[in-house]
Amino acid sequence: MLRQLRWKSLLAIIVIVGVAAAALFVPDYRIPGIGDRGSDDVLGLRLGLDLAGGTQLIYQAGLEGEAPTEEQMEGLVGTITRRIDRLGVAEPSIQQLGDDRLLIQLPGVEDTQQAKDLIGQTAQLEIVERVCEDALCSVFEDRPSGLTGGDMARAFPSTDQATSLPVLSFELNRDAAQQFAVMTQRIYSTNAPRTDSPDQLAFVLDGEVLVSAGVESPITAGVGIIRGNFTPEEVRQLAIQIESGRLPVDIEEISSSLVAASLGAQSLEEALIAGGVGLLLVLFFMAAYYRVSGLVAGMALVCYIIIVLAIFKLIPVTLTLAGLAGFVLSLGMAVDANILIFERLKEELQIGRTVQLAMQIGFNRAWPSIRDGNVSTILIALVLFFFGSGSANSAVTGFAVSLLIGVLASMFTAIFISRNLLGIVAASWLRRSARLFTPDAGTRDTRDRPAPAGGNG
Amino acid sequence: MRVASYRKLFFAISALLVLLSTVSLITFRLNPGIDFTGGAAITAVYETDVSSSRVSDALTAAGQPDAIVQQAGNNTFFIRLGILELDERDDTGNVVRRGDESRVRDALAGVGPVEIGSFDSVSGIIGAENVRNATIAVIVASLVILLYVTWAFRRVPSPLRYGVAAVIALVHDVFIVLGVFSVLGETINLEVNAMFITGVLTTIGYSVNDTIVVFDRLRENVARYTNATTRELVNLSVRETIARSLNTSITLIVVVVALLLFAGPAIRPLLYVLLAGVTVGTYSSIFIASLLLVSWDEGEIGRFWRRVRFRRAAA
Repeated sequence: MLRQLRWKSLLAIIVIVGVAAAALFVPDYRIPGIGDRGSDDVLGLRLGLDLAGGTQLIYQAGLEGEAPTEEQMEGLVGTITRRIDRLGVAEPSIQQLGDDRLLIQLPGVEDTQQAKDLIGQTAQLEIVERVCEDALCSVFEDRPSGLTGGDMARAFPSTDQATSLPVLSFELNRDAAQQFAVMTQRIYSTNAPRTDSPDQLAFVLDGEVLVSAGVESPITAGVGIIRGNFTPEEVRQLAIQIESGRLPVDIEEISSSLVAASLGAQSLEEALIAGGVGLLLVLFFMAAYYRVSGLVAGMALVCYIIIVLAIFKLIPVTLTLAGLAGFVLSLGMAVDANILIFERLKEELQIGRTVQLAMQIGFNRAWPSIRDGNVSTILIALVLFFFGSGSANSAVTGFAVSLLIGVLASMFTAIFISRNLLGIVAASWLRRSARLFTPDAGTRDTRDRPAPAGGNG
Repeated sequence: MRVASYRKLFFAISALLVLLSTVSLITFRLNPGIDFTGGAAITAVYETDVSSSRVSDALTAAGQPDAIVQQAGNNTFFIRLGILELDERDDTGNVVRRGDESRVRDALAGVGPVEIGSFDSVSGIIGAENVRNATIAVIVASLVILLYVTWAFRRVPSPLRYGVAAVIALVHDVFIVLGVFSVLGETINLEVNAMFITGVLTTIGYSVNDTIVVFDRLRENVARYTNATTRELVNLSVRETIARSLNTSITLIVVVVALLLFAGPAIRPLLYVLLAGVTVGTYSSIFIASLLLVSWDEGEIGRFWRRVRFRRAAA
């Protein structure tokens, strides 16, 4: 019964580690409903800019006293994303950091200046008159109307009173209303005689058309709506983008970092070599000191590394140097969990217990300290994550994330893999010689022990 | 091994180390990197032979007379600059006057064909914020550990003592690591940067884990030998866990030393912190955290405070 359970758990270990290894060693694949995983880097892991090379910029928005609103930040992200797309960067990342900051990551970009010039430009909103050549308006000419973002009072999502459908509402400044009236009158007039090619009104941000529409009636009061086959979210997005061009938020660079691909590759290579050498030393030490259990721990550690890296790839976690440091610490904790178990195991063997019983008791005694040590590390990782995110220091966040994943995985390895592998060894012929596990079985020196207070704890 | 009998020796050693760290921190200070002060750091790799004085001269001409230029290997230079002036822009955001960054780049390129390996620039705002966040993180982490250890040891008599002892050991470790770094900052010009903070945090994690292992054994022995004194129990627990403590530390130290031999300059500061942190963390979990419990149990801490207060009142 017990033996059967052991073999079942061995099977479970093989399946888990096998799946993790497949996830790790297959370079790239698609997980249905979740997305693509993998990259061109080592093992398909996602590498941070300090390892892969590229430019990272952090901007502070709305420096002049006034904090930007959520919508303004969203508009800013949209505007900058559109500009970056024009740079042709593979997998750029533009995210909001805290309330009023932007983190822009541009893998592979080494011309920081060009990126900064593009990002630093103020968003330009224009209202243009689109003169169409045919009914579908597939051929057209955009004529600037002279009206810009500065002439608009606001743009906001609302609902059409007649149809209850989402529409985009906008208002112009009083000074611009007259010019807008003339322009919409002109566009409208193309509707009646030339229904085959009605002209349109378009809002253009940074040279890109956000929305264009025909004119159903001249807008004389400077207040209008745009109907379309919009979802509420589309209308909200449109309003945010028009607002971002109407009232651009000031941004100022507060941090910029460029790492050349060559330097990143060098750091990565050094880290890999150092990690490999470190791992070999640990494995050698464990096998020399703890003998058979050390070999078991070695297997558990290799499984551990495969599982953690597979999780990094699946989530996916972007690996930076700081993240690697967090991983190394969690690796140290995983080694420590094994050492804790083995020291207990040795103790139990020294007082003359059988290998099988010693393993069971050894694990049970080691568990509370593994649990408490790991939980306290998890708490520290959470504190770091909390203080690291939101601020500009992504190194601390990266460290915290990989430490958190690493420690959780290390608890899993200790409970599931190390214990079951040890159980299997204990059930095999190896159990006949306690000396395969410790050189001094059954030789425990008990002189210094205080007398037990009746009963055994 | 009867460590508890020698506790005054260990306390004296720690007091001395903390004192030396304080003196060193006051005299040498830490050598803050751009992550904390703001400023710029550049790695420039020249394709031809170039002297560091030519690089310095070019930077001075570009308006950076305070640039620190360090040669690191063949035609590779580490350059430290103050906070850079940004590009000046007009209302539409077009650049009307180039800032320091492009002037510095032009100056470096003027010396010879060069590859900019890395160019980091941090504003003063971020620097101040990083200092604040790091300090808060260490304090909050300590409080969380205090609460957690007290809770985890709730079945032992006076669990708060365990929490306090663990945090004292932790603060002791952080302090000594800072002291070591102020010396390294003075001697080999090592900078305190974001990587350093990660290293200190790692040390905290390691130190607490190590302390908990000793305390866990104590917790077990307290339940088992109800007639024994704290002193006896601490002696026994330290003896029973010392093999594990040393093995774990040696494993980690071996790995860190291996990393030091192979790894590049980017993670070297982190490795120095780890080396110092793991060493002092092991020491404090064995000789400080658990021995504080003995002193507390035997009323020494109360006596010590009374004496300090008495002296203050007398002065």
